Amino acid sequence: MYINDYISKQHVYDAIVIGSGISGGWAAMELCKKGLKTLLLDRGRDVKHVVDYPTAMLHPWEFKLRLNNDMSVIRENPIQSKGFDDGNRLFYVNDKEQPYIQQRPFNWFRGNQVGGRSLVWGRQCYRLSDLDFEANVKDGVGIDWPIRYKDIESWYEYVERYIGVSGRREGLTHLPDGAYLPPMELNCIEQHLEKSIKEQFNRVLTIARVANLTKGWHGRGPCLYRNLCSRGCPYGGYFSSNSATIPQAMETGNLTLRPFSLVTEIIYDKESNKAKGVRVIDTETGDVYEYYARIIFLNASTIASAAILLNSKSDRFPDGLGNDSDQIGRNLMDHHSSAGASGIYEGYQDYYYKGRRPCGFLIPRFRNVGENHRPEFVRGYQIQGIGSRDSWQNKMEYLSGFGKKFKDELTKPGVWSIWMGGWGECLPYSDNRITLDKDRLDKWGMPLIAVNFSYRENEARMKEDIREVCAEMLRKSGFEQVNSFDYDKPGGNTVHEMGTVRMGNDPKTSVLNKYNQIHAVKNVFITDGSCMTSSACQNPSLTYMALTARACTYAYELLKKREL
Amino acid sequence: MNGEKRLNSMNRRGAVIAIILVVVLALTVKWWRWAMPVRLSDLREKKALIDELTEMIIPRTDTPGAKDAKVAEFVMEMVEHGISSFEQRTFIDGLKAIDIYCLNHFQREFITCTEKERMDVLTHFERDEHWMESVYLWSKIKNKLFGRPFFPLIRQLTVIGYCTSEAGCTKGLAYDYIPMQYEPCTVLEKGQKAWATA
Repeated sequence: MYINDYISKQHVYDAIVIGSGISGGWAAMELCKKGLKTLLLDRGRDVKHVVDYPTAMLHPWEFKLRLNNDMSVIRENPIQSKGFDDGNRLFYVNDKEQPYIQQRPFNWFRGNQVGGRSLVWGRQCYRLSDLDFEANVKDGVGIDWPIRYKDIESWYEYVERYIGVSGRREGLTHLPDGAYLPPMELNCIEQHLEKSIKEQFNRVLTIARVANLTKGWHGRGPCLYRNLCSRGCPYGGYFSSNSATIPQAMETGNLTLRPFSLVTEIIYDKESNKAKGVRVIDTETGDVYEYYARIIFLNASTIASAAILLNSKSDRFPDGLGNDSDQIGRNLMDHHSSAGASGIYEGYQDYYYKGRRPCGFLIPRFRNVGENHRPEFVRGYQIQGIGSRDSWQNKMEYLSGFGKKFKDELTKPGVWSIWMGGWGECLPYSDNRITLDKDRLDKWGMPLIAVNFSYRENEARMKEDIREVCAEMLRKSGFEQVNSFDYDKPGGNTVHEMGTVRMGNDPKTSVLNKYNQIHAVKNVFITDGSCMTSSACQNPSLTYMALTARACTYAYELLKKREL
Repeated sequence: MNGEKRLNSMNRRGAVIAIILVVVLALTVKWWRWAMPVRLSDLREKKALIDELTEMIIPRTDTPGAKDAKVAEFVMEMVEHGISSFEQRTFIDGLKAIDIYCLNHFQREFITCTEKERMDVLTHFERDEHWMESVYLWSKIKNKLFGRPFFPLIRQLTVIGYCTSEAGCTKGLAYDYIPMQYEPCTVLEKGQKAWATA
């Protein structure tokens, strides 16, 4: 390995985007559309829309173990195998090849390929509101967000109109409506619960707002209700970097996509007080390259972005680029989604459904909203769930016997049931953090990332409330065998990591300003989950995309004015 | 009230200690057995037996049965590659136990037994393990540590194998490869099968 210090002209771009997941893809598209020559780097392989979805059209019987994971695969991937099956394993990293240190249990699911985790995301899109943006300052937790809803509102709409979000308008101020395609529909049992909790609790139940298309949209979709999204959708039925932003960026002629490019650090130039470029290891050849640009967007995902900054050391920034506040790597958050309840319903035996809807329902947050104040905990949760009739997957757990009767019972639609759980806000704790272990290196010579994360009292109390509330709603809606649960899953399991490079007004307590620029290094923008000042309880990707589009426009304006 | 509480807590403590002792004992025995390697080489020789067992669990009716769906082939693949070594041993031992039971009761191996004899054997094994499963806490701990007992294990593997096979999906169940639409509330037709995929 050697440092290639020969700077050819082709190593200079207007902009560099690090990471091609859901926010990096957006950055690349926005910058390219504005005419900037953009280099998009990803540490993994390229995944081209449609042609690189080899499992997408396979029948269950075409997989050797019928989608079950081979034990040797599980042994090699103790973390990722909790998330993948044989149909989508190709979009997850290999744990053995890409280790990290768990100082406490933390499941870090990763998809290091072009498109990142936008290929396998849950696709739910909810706006944050001022209930969320004002929460930290009102509760005295963490630091204040430097933005409010009005700063991001039009960007939410801009993103929604591009990606295509199906959903229903509900008129709630704390979960603002967006620009939606026609909603998918609730099935019988979900409609039953919707009516019941409206009458009894005055709570809203709505279909999930998802980036699955209910009609053709910008040359993609519609969704054909196969519910196999995470294998990649050959119809472009859902939004991903691969299906939308990257091809669109490519069309401008301004994009250079470089897969197999592991960014080891951002290079700081003390003369200009800016970042001048990035250092990259080509993971196929092991060669080291440097690329230079006027602006850099860091979108490597919450944990990886913080790690790149911590690894970018200079005389000016001995503890990592932009780390004057010592906040980089701290305040790691992930929604908890362990608590909830399930129950069965004896009615509606004559009804069924057709098609596999790729989403469930949502009960928007009602705790600590308006007058509904809970003294036991701050913030709140939204409930996500799904109603269905039992099929062989459930029945094999409880049906006894064998033979003809067993087969008849097994193959007919079973009882209706609902499963639902709370997706809850996680507070920012400064000692929930990632650090680099200089003594343990990966195969590229990069220090291993150590994650130290735990949920605390506020999350625990919220989970108790979720159990009670979910069970109560089911019981009072006529469900039986109601079972409330707390799976007590470790952090990382909701795959909503946030907060390690937070935004704020004060450079002493935050890393990024209100336009996602590093306070002290103005030409570096960070718009992935790491920028989040609080986690709210909404699925966060829509907010990353909106912040990205906003920051790209701001960066471009500054470039035009020669202020960067 | 207080005395009752204390008594309860003592009972609870006693029960907890008893459970721990039993589990430790079971662990020791199991681990000792586990230390010996599982011989999977015999598995393929038992194909005829596995064929018959899976067909008895899901027989051919007006729709294909386990044999039609080549379930035994899948079960063997799963035993070789898709289950823990504890369950591998349970499976191999379970097959042996069936033949031994047949030799003792009918003086011949399972596959040469009559229809009625086979029913008796399977009923015996199912009931035996069904009873153990009914002791909820015990079976929960045991399953967590050592995996499923033999009959539930082969039954679940059979179900998965059948319900994900081409014959099982398309004829035993209702298979909708590309649904195109989502219809949230349809009227169930008489005899309508459950969807094969979720």
